[in-house]
Amino acid sequence: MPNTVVEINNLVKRYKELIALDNFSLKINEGEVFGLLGPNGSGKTTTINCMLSLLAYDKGEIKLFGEKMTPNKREIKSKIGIVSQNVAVFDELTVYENVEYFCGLYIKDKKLRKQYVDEALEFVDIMDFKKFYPKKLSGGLLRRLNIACGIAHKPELIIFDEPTVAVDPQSRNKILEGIEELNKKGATIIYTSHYMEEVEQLCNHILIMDKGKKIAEGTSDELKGMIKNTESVVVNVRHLKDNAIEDIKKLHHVYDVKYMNNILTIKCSGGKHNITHVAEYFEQSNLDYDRIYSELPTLNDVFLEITGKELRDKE
Amino acid sequence: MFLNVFINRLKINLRNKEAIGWSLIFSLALGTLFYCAFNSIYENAKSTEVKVAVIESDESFANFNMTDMLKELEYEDGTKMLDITEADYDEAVKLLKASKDDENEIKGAIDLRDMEDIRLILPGEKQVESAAFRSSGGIEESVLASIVSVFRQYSAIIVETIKSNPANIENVMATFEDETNELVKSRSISGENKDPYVSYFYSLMTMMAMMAAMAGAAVVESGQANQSAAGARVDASPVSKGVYLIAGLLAAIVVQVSITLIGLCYLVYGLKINFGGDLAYVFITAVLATILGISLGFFVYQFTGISKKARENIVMTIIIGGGFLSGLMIANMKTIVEMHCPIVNRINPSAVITDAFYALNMYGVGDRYYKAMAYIVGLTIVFIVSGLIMSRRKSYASL
Repeated sequence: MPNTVVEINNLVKRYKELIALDNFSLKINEGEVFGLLGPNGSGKTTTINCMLSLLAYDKGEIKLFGEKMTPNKREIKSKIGIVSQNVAVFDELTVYENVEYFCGLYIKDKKLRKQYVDEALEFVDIMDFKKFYPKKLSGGLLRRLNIACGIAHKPELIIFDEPTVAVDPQSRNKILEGIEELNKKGATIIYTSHYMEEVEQLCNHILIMDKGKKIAEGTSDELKGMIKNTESVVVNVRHLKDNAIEDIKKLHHVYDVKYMNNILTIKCSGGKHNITHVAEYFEQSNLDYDRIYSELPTLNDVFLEITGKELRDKE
Repeated sequence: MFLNVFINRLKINLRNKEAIGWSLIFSLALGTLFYCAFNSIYENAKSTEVKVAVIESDESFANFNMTDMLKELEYEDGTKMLDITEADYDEAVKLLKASKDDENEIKGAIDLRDMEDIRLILPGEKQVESAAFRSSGGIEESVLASIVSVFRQYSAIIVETIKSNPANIENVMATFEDETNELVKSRSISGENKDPYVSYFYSLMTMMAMMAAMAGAAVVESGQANQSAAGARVDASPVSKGVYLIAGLLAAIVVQVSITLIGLCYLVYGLKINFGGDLAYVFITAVLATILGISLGFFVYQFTGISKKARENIVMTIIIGGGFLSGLMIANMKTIVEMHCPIVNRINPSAVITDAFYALNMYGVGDRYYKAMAYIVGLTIVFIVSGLIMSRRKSYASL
């Protein structure tokens, strides 16, 4: 049975009248890539800050590596690496000096520290920029520096708090690949994001939260299995007959049909050949369409179905 | 870990061009401005031979001739300090009256008739007993006041010796003649600085020291989760908070003290400002004052329950408001505060720094100077220790 690295029980955090965490609980096992998914303001970062004892909480218990976490637990802190949402580096230090400085807060031995710093810079692929000052780096490189500062000391538990916000797709992929590699090397990962695709790609256990509460938890498939929707058939069609929507609703496994901006979305629950049935209907009804395709449910669908709202604002 | 933090904080401080630039520009530019404004007056004031009437006692006092001693007083460049006219009281008063209309006449009269009550009489028959009187009438009066102050102190010792242990009077006199000569010289020439405009440069040094508060604040900001993202990283690390802050403070002290010393060297060796007193003590005072400034910022920024803006405002209020109350803007403000609320002068960092410079300027190295320095060191210790206690590992109510 894997060791529990993080255990949070009934955590309550209030900001005056606002309840940021409402009896929130979670458990993370060693070696997991644990995704904390939720819209902005759902309590992800608050959870992380409470976990690190940076933020005081009103009620509940937090155990890291089997021990109760307090601000004085240096031994526990030495096993944790954080990659915060905001880039946490000093503008007056070069790339190399920044990583060395933060690594030096964990590793006393100078020789070992140098080795770790070099490895971290290689890992995030910014060795070529080691003499650059942060202000000279692009957004993506800055994020990679932020990661290097958080992982250089080779922590057992690494917390990534929205590390890909405002990052170009190329850098984002590099970051995600790096996180996978860190996990393969044995680190337990906590990954918070409101990008469901990233969480789905990366995490083997996902917790969806909203308004400080856990709303669902499990693997990606388990979460998708919790909702009615199993497949959405999407048809790009310019003209639809008056009674078409009602006819389609009558098709087997179909439970919801929406037509907007020339896009017909047919939601199905169960069944294996829903797209074939829809295509047959269009052919039999002599209806022209530009494109037809099938979409499997996403975590956004899970979130939408449970909370009635989108996981993130339309961008 | 200490060394790692110290070296990197040193780099951060040294590479913060904006902060260093402003600190240096402030001292160099304002110093140059003061110099240009006061230079002509300052140059004219150098080595002025002060015309004075001396009202002698009819009989010598234990073979101790004060008039002779007064005649021997001279500036560092060999110029005589006093141009003495010996006179009786009535003649001296006449001369003083005449001096009202003629600038070349005597600037005061030293009344030596009563050894227990040596007095300085200024035009208008204003009698001055203490050198704490800082001449508002001019440099010459200031020189005279400081001389009379020293003579009053020593004559009191002689009188006391005659009363309590007359057998020892010869030894006392022998020591006294040598010491008096040296002391009067050093105090008149350098200790009690004849240049009243030097106080503006002391004010400048005080402001420079107080502005170092922002460097102390930066140390706190860099290590607390609720202050900066980098602070969160430091707070989440296993590094001891005490070690981190002390290393950061030391780095700030090294850089800020260097800035202060560069500024002071520019004033002393570049602009050739006569800071009076023992120059080494001027430097020591400036260094300790800078450390007090840093510790002030360090202390105020530990109040994590209030916003950053509020903390900034508190520091600036203490610097500007404290500067005002210590007389950096209005000359007699410190005296007014001393009369109505003396505790403010003990806890106001600007006031204790100003007092140290003032004591050094007026009385040289002595009890008053040491007392002022004790306040500087005391306040620094209180600020740093309180700051360290307040910073102990804690979770914040909000980030």
